[in-house]
Amino acid sequence: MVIVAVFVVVVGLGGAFYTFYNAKGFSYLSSNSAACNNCHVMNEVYDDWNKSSHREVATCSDCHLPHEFIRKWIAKAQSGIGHAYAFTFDKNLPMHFSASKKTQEIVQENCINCHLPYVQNVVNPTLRPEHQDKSLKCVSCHQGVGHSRGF
Amino acid sequence: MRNKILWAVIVVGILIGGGIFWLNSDITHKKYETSGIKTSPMMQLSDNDPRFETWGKYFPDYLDMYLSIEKSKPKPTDFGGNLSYSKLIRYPQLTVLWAGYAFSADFNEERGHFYAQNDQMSTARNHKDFLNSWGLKAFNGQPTACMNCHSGWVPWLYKNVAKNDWVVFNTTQYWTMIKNVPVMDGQAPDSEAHRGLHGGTKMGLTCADCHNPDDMSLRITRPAAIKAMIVRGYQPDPVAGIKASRQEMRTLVCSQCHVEYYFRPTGEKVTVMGESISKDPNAKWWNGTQKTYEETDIWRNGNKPIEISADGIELTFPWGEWKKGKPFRIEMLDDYYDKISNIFPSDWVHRDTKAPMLKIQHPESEMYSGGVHAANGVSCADCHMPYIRKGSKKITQHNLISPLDDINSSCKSCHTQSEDYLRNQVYTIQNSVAFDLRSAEYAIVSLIADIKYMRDQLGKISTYQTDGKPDDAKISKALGKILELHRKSQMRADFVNAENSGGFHNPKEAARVTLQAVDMARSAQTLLAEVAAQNHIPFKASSLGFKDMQKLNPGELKWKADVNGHKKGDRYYDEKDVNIDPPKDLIKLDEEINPYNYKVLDKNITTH
Repeated sequence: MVIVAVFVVVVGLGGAFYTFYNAKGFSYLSSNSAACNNCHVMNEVYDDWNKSSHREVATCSDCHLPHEFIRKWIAKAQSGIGHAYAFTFDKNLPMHFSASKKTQEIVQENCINCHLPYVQNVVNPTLRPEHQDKSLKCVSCHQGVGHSRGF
Repeated sequence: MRNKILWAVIVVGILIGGGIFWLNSDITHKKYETSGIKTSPMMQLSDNDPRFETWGKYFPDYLDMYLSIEKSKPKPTDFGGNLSYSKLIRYPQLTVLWAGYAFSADFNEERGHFYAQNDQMSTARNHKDFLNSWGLKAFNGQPTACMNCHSGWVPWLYKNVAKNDWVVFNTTQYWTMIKNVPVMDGQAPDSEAHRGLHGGTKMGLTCADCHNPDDMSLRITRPAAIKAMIVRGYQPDPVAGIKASRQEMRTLVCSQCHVEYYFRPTGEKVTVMGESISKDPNAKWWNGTQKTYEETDIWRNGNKPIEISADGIELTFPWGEWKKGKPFRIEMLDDYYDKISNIFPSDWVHRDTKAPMLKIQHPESEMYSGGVHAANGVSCADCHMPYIRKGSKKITQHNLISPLDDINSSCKSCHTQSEDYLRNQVYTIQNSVAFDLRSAEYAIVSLIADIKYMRDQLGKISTYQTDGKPDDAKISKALGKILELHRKSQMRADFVNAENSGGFHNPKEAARVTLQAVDMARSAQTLLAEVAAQNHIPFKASSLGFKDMQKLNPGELKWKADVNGHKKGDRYYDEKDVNIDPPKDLIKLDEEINPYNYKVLDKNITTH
């Protein structure tokens, strides 16, 4: 009985380990943009990013994840689980995605993170509370900088 | 106790392990899928066997998409879709606009490429006996020219039965030509396998109509399209039909069929295949005249092919005035048809006005050519066959239905706004064009009523009589300009109506063309007032609307007499989902469109 149980656990662990390897699990711990493209639904945006003006200076995660260590890994875990679930089980993923409210906020924050010294005279007024709901985001105008599809 | 824990470990372990292995196989499968489609050297496809199931063996995903139309529930859109309701019930004005023509008896929303041949075989417009009994005796059944766009067997029949003679192919009777569809795989000619939707004679469009069997590249197979494009300035190509870039071909393969056309009389007699039943003195049409062919798709009861002589016709696109790289304009059809009026005066003569009429057929290519999407290099396939994902593969959608069915895949590959925003853009465009089009149709039906009245009144005056009876020729002469306006205004309304996008393919042209139609119809009414004044006839111009049109509702199609074993009053169609009433909300929509009820129609539309 013990042997059977140990066997099951070992095979299960081995399978889990191999599956993690097969799904290129370790790549998700890096910041390499190619990791996002493990998932085929990212093919088009990945291709676009490769041709974009930001290719040499920013990876997917530079724009799409918070820069502080803890927030970054929480966001990574949350999105990762959500994406993995959708990719595996959702048979009707749309062809083109729209940015969620949370993504919009993170991206805006990251634009500012890198560009603030240069654009603060523009950004600061739009950050006032009365503008927060409907103010334009950086990407409202600069649509093509990350990937040519606006999302 | 220890056993229980071990058992739990084993059961949970097996469940988790099973899940892990399933997940693993899913990952591996998706990786494999991305490797894409490869043409295999084992593939043996040719034009000798165009059946979609033969080709589909190598392209199962595409076959599944194509055949999904047969299994999925038909979907109407506001002004299109693939639910086969009676358009004559939805737009009863068409029965007046097309009076005296077969379309006034039977006209349904089309069900798409898979059903093209089946629906041509079942439409009443292709049944001489039915039309006879409906008082449309002039109609002599459809020629094979009509089949050009309905069957994947056309290239085979053209080559093997008509021996590459274009005029012979087009001139042969439709029902004679279809009897030549080859019986494959040793099937019995009378079997379901040969005569059913997935067999030979009812097979609609297939892979080979657009794809080259050697490498699946796009090609044009229909001679009428190749000839017409050469007239426009394209170069011929032995493999692809004409020389064009891939992006152009993604539009031009559709232009093989989605165009206005007519059957040009060649003025010469040709020898074509006929049927021996024409020599059988016992074979009679419903009205007692000699049967010349049998209205079925197989040879039976000793009926055999014979040689007969017939007046040659050829399927022709009226594109003589439309040069390559230019937008199409409706005036080009005026110029073209005016030039050839001595050899092709009309599609039919209107029952009430006696005007020589033109019926425009599905001119999507022409309408689209000057639109904003064409100007930006967007092809038909970009919207109607958008890229979609199937598993991990990116493939073109092959179910060939409205882009409104999948706005995300079609519109959002270029437009970044929300789906709701994009849908509203389409709706407001289509509603606005529908307002214009209904205005034109109501104006023309009003004009037809007035011309009919004027013809009756003029017939009572001796100047317009011969031997004390009304002389149609004299009356038509007096109404010359008015009848020309009737022809041209209705041709314009038809152009927008027959073009299957509710105007979306080119809204500004749709608006311009329908404005002309209204202007012409109302001008003709003004001219009628002048004729009335000159002849001292009391006259008040009609102005009919939605409610007047609804009184003309013909109901679903029924037999008008005992014909071919059918009883008077029986429903014409065997298929229960064809020729049905339009969905009620669509009739309701039409009622709100003209006059335009902004309170209802703009309820969900907002501005920034």
